[in-house]
Amino acid sequence: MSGGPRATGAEIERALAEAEAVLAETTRRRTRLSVAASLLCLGTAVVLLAAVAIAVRLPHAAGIAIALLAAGGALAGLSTGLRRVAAGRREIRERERAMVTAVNYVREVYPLVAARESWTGPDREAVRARVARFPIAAR
Amino acid sequence: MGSLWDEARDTWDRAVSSVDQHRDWSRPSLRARRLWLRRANVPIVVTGRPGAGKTALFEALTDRVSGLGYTTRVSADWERHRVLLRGEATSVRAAFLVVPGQDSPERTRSVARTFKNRAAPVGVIHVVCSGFNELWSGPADGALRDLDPAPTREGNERVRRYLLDLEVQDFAELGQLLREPAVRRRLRWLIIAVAKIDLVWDELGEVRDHYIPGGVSSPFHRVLDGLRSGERSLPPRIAIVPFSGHPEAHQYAPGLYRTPSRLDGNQATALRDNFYDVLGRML
Repeated sequence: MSGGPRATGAEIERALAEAEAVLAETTRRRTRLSVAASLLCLGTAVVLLAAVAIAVRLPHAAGIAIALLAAGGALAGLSTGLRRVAAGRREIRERERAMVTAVNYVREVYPLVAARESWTGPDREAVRARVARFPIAAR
Repeated sequence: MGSLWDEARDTWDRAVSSVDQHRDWSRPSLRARRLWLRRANVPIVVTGRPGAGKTALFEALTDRVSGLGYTTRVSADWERHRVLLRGEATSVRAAFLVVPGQDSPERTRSVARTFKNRAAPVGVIHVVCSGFNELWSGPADGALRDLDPAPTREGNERVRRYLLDLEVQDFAELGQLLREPAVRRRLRWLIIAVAKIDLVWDELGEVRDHYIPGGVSSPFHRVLDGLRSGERSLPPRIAIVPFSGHPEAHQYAPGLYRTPSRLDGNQATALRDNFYDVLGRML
């Protein structure tokens, strides 16, 4: 094993603080992406309904052309938007993966550091509670 | 009251002797089959530390482990399964919930769901493994890097002792959950499955004495005794049994000491069948 220097409480604190910042950011971004995806779907549905209404109300060539253009534009927008949402989610997952690796390290090592540095019970519990906020794996 | 542990020791000894007496044509007294559509009404919770073998135990019980080629895996969330347990005189639709061992939102959620409301379990299977946990991060495991064990048996023992300490702490936490009012009202039995017993088959007496009170005192006994005295948080029936889901050598990480398995597939099957017997008596 290439052990390297032993972990310290300060390192654990730093790693946890960084991971918490990443968790807050990824949670915020994930929520924004979900809202964006919902709005995209809703907007597309509205435009499609409007296109159908136009085609019904103006059943001549111009009306149908407008309806088809609107529907095509909406679907193209939806497709582009959803691709961006998926790319955003992939990026978040990558960041989460790095975060989970860092937190797993803390999960595994903090009992040893707590014993070595004689942490008090509440200190130990506080670190444990912070660690417990992180998922086991990237979502 | 002392007879509780005498009985537990008898159950353990019967399991050990079942390995020698096992015959290929022996049939377990209970069969488990997964249910897909029907409702399950007997909640059973499987607990234990990460890498103790909770998923492997469940999969061995439902015949999803074929012995060779089983790949252990980390469970990223709780696992819920509906299983029909059928014996000669028993037929129970059990809802198994495997609680993740890592401190995480997934664990918090599953603990809140199972131990702190009306869905409290009727039975708990707590999986321990004599410190032979699977370290999911392998050589990158924080504890392993910090302990920096030599690739010798002694180095291995250092890691194992550390993990044994954590196992005791984990069991003490389960003890806290068993004190929850909802659990005390509903819980009827507790089985402590000492998994990966094939790795310590040559030191069975010490392992038994570590987990079952009655011999040399151990930190594990202190938790059990604490549960038994005072608030009577132990359920009416308790069994501590050896188990091996899929016997294979164990290594905390590549390059470290390799602990050989000392049982073959048939012997592990005998232990599984014995586990069925014990489970059948609990249901």
